[in-house]
Amino acid sequence: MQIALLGTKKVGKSSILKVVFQKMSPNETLFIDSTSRIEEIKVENNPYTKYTFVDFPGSFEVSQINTQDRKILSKCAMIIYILDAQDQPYNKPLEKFINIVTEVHSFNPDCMFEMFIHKIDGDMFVTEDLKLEAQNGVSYLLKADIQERKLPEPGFFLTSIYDLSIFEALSKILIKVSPQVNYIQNMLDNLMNYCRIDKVYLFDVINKLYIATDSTPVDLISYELCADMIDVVIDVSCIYGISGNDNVASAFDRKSTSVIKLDSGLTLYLREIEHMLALVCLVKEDNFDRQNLIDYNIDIFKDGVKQIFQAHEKLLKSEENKS
Amino acid sequence: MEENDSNRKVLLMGKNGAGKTSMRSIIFANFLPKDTMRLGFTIAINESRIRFLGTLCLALWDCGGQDHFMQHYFESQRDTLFRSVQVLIYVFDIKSDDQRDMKYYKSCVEAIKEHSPTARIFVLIHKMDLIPLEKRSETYSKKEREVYQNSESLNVVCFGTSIWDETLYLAWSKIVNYMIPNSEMLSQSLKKFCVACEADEVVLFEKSTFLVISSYSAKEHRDTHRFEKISNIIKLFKLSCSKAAARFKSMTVANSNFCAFIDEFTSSTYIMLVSSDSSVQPALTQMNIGIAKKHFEGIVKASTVSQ
Ligand SMILES: Nc1nc2c(ncn2[C@@H]2O[C@H](COP(=O)(O)OP(=O)(O)OP(=O)(O)O)[C@@H](O)[C@H]2O)c(=O)[nH]1
Ligand SMILES: Nc1nc2c(ncn2[C@@H]2O[C@H](COP(=O)(O)OP(=O)(O)O)[C@@H](O)[C@H]2O)c(=O)[nH]1
Ligand SMILES: [Mg+2]
Repeated sequence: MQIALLGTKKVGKSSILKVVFQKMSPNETLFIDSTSRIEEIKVENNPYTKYTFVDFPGSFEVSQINTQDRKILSKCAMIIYILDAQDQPYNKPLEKFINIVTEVHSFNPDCMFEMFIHKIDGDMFVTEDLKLEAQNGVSYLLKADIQERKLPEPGFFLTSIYDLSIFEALSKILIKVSPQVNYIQNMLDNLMNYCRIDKVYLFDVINKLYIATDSTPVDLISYELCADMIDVVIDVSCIYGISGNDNVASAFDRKSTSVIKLDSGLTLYLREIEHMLALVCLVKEDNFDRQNLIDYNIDIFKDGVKQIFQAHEKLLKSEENKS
Repeated sequence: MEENDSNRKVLLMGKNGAGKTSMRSIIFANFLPKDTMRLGFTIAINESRIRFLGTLCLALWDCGGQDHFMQHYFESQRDTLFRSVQVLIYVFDIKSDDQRDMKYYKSCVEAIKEHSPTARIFVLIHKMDLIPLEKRSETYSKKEREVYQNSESLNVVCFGTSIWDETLYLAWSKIVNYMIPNSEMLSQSLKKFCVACEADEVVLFEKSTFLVISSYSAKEHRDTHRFEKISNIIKLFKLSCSKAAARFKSMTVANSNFCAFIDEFTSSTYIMLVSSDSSVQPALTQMNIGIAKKHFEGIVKASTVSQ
């Protein structure tokens, strides 16, 4: 699955990829160089999260598109356009966005478009209202052009590398391009109802992106808590759960599990599901009494996930053979 | 200030910008490391009283480090400031080459020698994260040597620290442990408990700071800084819980090689119990912790008063 990041110069494209997929700390991104040629970042944490992110230089213009660019863009399932929220006015970058969508849509009609209104952390955006105002402004400015040219409408996300909003936004859009997710979501909804769980995420342990969640809305607080739990589990397991020369990845194994109890009456429960995939549930402590029942249902879920992924892989293989 | 036995005067000194207020805020006021960038200068002396392990009371004097304050400390305030000090903590910024810094340190040592000859001196060589990894130990040794040369042959203990990793917890755990008069009794009881539970190791953390109070290991472990790493991990997680308006109570983490419990223990401590023996039942361990709680309540209290 190929996904391109586009935008004007210095909007934060490379920073996003480095923070989310290469564990760079946000402060360090101040020192990365401007991207001068197309760069690819391959993500392959387990057989089910395989992505290639293509980082375009900010200088790229569709009016000067060459055959190589065209080839890359025609293979993309999704284009993420990054807009620097701190760099007003937005006219120029939005014009660039419309030009890109118009062009790519003409030769790759299935491609989805998403817009990250990025760097939403500065002094200009201290309240939620100001953030939403920025988003409404952008959406308003684009509306006429999109309707007139009959272009697909992009999704909008408010993001920053200084908090988890960028992880949440990426989780949400990657779910859109993952065909298996609908089935998994159904199973998660069932699991939730059977076991009276409040919220459940299926996490990619390495990047802390969730690859699926139940159909109730995601709030940043519960997501953050679960993501922080994964940090704790990995860090503690790296101390006690691996022998001398094992690598970090082996800290998370088939029997990885964790329970964290909070005084608010909430319990966080984590279990390994697949290679580097963890299920994290938020459960009321009273409902966690019947841990056996929860475990039993998670086992069933685990089997289900395995089958879905196997079917998916078979499909991919047969498509490969055809082409 | 009253000077009874459980009241301990701790001086925190060093040039301005060395990181004194940052470390104090992280350890005792639950700041995140990145929040320290917002701290302003400390004006003159900021005295805070910190309750520790329920009964110990630390009077922490954070002494603003600008030159004109420093001058005051050694002249007009010398007698009051350096009197009945239990511990002096002097902080050096490893990146600063200011010659005055060593001079101030020397003056501190002299003042301590004169007014509180029994005080213990800890030197923190701070912001080690700013030194590239391959140069760290060399840079540290050089500074440490310089410190010893200026310590008037007093007994001084040095640590390299950074707010960005567990070294901060290591240094402060050692400092605080020095102030617990009867820690031997605590570690004896912990040993018995560890053996009774058939655990690999047992660690006691102070409740609010998560500094290591005592520990016993039945098995060797390759990582000598592991307890401080745990302090750091849990402290950060506690902060993310507070964002969700909740407080962390207990935790179990396991994989196929180990199982670790971290649980509220006595009214002023958390306990961690690690076991690699999968035949030890988690439920049983939790029960043992429950039973030991009452017993340890008294022991922890007793450990804070000298006999
Ligand atoms: N405040 C803030 N700054 C950010 C954020 N994301 C990135 N930046 C900063 O924006 C600057 C530019 O980031 P880059 O990732 O190099 O931008 P780019 O889009 O790859 O730029 P080109 O390669 O020139 O196209 C860096 O100094 C980052 O530290 C964010 O969420 N908030
Ligand atoms: N890189 C780095 N910076 C630190 C460290 N400790 C503190 N700082 C920074 O140093 C600055 C001064 O710290 P402060 O605590 O106000 O110094 P004080 O004058 O000694 O109290 C702040 O911006 C801190 O964020 C550290 O370990 N590493
Ligand atoms: Mg770039």
